[in-house]
Amino acid sequence: MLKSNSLRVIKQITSLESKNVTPLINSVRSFSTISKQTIKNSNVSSKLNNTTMTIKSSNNINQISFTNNSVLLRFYSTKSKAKEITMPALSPTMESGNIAKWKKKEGDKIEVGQAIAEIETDKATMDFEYEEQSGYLAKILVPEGSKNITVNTPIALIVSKKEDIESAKDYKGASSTTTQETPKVQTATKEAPKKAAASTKSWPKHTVVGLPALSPTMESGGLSKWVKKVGDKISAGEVIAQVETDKATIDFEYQESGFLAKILVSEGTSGVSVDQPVCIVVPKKEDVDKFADFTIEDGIQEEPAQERPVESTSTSTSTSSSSSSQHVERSSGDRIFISPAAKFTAKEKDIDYSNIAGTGPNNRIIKADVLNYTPQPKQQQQVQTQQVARESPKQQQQVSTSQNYIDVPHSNIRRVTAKRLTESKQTIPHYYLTMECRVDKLLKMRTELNSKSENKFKLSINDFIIKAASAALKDVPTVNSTWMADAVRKYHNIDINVAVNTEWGLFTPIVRDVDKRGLASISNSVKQLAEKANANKLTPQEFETGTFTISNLGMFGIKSFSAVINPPQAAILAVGTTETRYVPGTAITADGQPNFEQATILNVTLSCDHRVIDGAIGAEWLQKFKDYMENPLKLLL
Amino acid sequence: MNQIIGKRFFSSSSSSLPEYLFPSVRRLLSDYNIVNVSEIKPTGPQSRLLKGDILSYIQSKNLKPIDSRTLQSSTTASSTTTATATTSKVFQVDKENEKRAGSTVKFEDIPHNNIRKVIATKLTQSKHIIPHLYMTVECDISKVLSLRQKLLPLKVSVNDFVLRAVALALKDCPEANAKWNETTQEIQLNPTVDVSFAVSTDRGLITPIIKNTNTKQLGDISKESKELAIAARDSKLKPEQFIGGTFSVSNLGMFGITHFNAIINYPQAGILAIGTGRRVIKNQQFTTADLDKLDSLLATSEAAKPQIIDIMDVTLSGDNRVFTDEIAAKFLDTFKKYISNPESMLL
Repeated sequence: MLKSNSLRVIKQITSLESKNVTPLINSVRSFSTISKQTIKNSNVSSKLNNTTMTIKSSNNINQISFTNNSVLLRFYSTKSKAKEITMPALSPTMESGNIAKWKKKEGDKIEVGQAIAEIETDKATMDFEYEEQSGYLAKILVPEGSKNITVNTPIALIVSKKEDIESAKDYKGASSTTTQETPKVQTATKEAPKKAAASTKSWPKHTVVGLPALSPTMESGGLSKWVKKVGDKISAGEVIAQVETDKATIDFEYQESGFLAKILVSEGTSGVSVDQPVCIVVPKKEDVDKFADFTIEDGIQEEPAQERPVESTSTSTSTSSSSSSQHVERSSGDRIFISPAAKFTAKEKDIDYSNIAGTGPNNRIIKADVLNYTPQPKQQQQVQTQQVARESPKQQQQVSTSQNYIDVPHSNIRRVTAKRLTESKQTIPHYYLTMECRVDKLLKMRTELNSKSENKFKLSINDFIIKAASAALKDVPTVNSTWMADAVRKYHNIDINVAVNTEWGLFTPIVRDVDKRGLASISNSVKQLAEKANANKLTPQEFETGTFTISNLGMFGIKSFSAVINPPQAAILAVGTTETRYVPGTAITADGQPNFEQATILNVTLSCDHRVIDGAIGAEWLQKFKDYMENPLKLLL
Repeated sequence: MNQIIGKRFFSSSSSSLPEYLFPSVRRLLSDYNIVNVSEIKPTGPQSRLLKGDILSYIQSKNLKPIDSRTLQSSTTASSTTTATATTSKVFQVDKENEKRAGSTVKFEDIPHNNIRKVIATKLTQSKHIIPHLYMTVECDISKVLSLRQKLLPLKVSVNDFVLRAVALALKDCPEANAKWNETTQEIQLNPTVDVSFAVSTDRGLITPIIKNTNTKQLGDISKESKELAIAARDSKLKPEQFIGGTFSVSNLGMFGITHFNAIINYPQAGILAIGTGRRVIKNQQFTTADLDKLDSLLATSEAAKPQIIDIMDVTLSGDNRVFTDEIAAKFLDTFKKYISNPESMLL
């Protein structure tokens, strides 16, 4: 295999038939300065099955593989050399501009953010500041004074090393068109997963829309009805056709706006395979008429010449999915395959890699993809928004209301908490046990002890809860443990994370060796930790994860709640508020009627990891806990 | 809620130890109880100790690993699972901070037995696959308790009444006696009512089945459940006695649990979690149907007077794909009617 920094699969043609070979060869030729001789010698025939041919040219190494009657072209740019600088969109509405002046000469050094040219737009003349990388201006592709250069057309080449300037001199338009496509956004949404945008001299800018897979199992469908006619305006998300699948008739919603220029598959056609082009959508209404005589073949024949990534119309193989489009839409839940190097690079450059299309094996995002990725210019989105706004006042309203929010960036704590708790719920099978504890005796004992404290301590109910929990953990040690791959690790020490409410949020610092300490010691520890937490001065050691957690929301009046286990612990106790209610008394009154008495009830819920703690064990723990809470004298034992 | 910064679990930083030790090194140090780490010459990058450094040190000093049994804490776990732990180890990790002056983190690792592995896999799978729905109703069991007294000397437990009521409710609501077929993505009704009930054993949780529960009378259910529970505890259950079942019952009432949310016993679609019976003071309960005549009902002294009744909370965990809210509510209501009027179950 070739070692190269970037790889682009440009076109795959299944079924190797003679008629397909010519455009193939043409496309190869147009890509580089390969002699006609090379191609002729290759003598494309079925004998070439399962062979790979490599053609080297000045800038590119091109590879043609013939496998199972299909041809796969790979273009390896020898990379590192030159990168195109494209015409920027300097205003939201800008579609093309004039180069008024080059501020840098070929060979000049460019720093990030430096102005390299003056560009004249429809409104003003602006400095073009190049932000992407520093390097040397190797070649100016579009001379000063050129007019109406479309946005994203390459206008110059930049190289990172001075010595590469020479080699970039003979960089031809052919190879530059290879990368020209990169900023064009290729969206692959669920509704229209495979489609190709193309703009050439002969056809105005348009999108070939393929039949979407409307269900996970759908392979082909029938076009039962076209909801839109040729020339109709399509707003993003509008239904353009009805598609009959094996299960139901489903609306085909098109996710971008434009005008329906040409219908390629007539109403009533059945057995249309997924991704087969069904219509053409153009962004401008005046282009609609130009597509009247457009045929599917045109699309296919054209594209190799256009050097645009096009999904083959027939069955797609695994390789076909590695299109060269750099931008894909992924839904948030999708797993992103990315190589470590690529991930690192993305992080370094602060690029959100979730939308980069991978070109590595199994569509993995490789480092080169990240380096080649140009984040979607914001201006483009604004253009869309503005257009929509202009066209429909109703939608304008929606646009403005949808901006009624502020994004609060995640703090580090929030990010860590989110990650840990999500992981907890995903890996730990939680179940919840709720118990009522009558705490009248405990309250009485607390008052008595506090009255004799001589200001050395002031016990809270929470201190008793901590102590009772530690005693119960000693009785039922399975709850004081961790699930590991091969074993359950039971801890002999009892370190409890205790919820402390502060103005900064709820913290759960650690109280160590609770079982070995008295109520006053626990109480003072918690008090100290609470003070530190209030001052935001907890040390990392005091934040450590202990063996059990108690979360208390009683102060907010919560009756009971189910907490998420704090991994790698196996359980968490959620303490609610105390409530006073009448309960049947133990004694019988003189007239034979049962008496009622007032009771203070505390609700606690234990969340358990069922892998470690079976229901009966968790229940046994709560039974012990309740016993200690209801008979606090037992805490002395 | 639990804002705990993701620190290493039990970081063993200590003044006498280097900043960072590889896990293998730390393990060796504790296994051989090496205290004078500074004596060992580090050869790793940035003068880090490598496992090889420790091994050569051990060889040169001819050290022996400390017998883990001598370190085993005298704390004997009261939990039954400890008894089955064949190879328990105790590790000591030095840990020093102001609060834990010189004390150590101690733990023992209890290797998983087969049942534990199965429980872990199945329940994790269940929570992953099944969208759990929880629904709780409060049932008046005063009549069950008085009927129990009347049936003496025949000993029938509350749990037997629950099993019978569940079976009859499943029979009445066949859509609740169903499961989700993953391949067809459809609800599949079960032809028979086979209720599993959770039994806690030394080795872990097991759920024996009372086959065709709805056809069996209270006495039969009582006898069979006792036999199955004993067989389960002696691990003498045959596979067909605990594999299958169409619905489960888990009862933690004997521990005084008010109510709880159980995990569905996949591939079943429902489990009923039975809480404890408790005495409460209640005014007579009225349903929405009684609203019209509420004034006249309250006028009678009996209805207005608070009464002491025995209630029991039951929580259904249902597979929301099978138990739509409506089916779940209907099933629970049917169950409640049976358990509140036990004489209807005797037929």
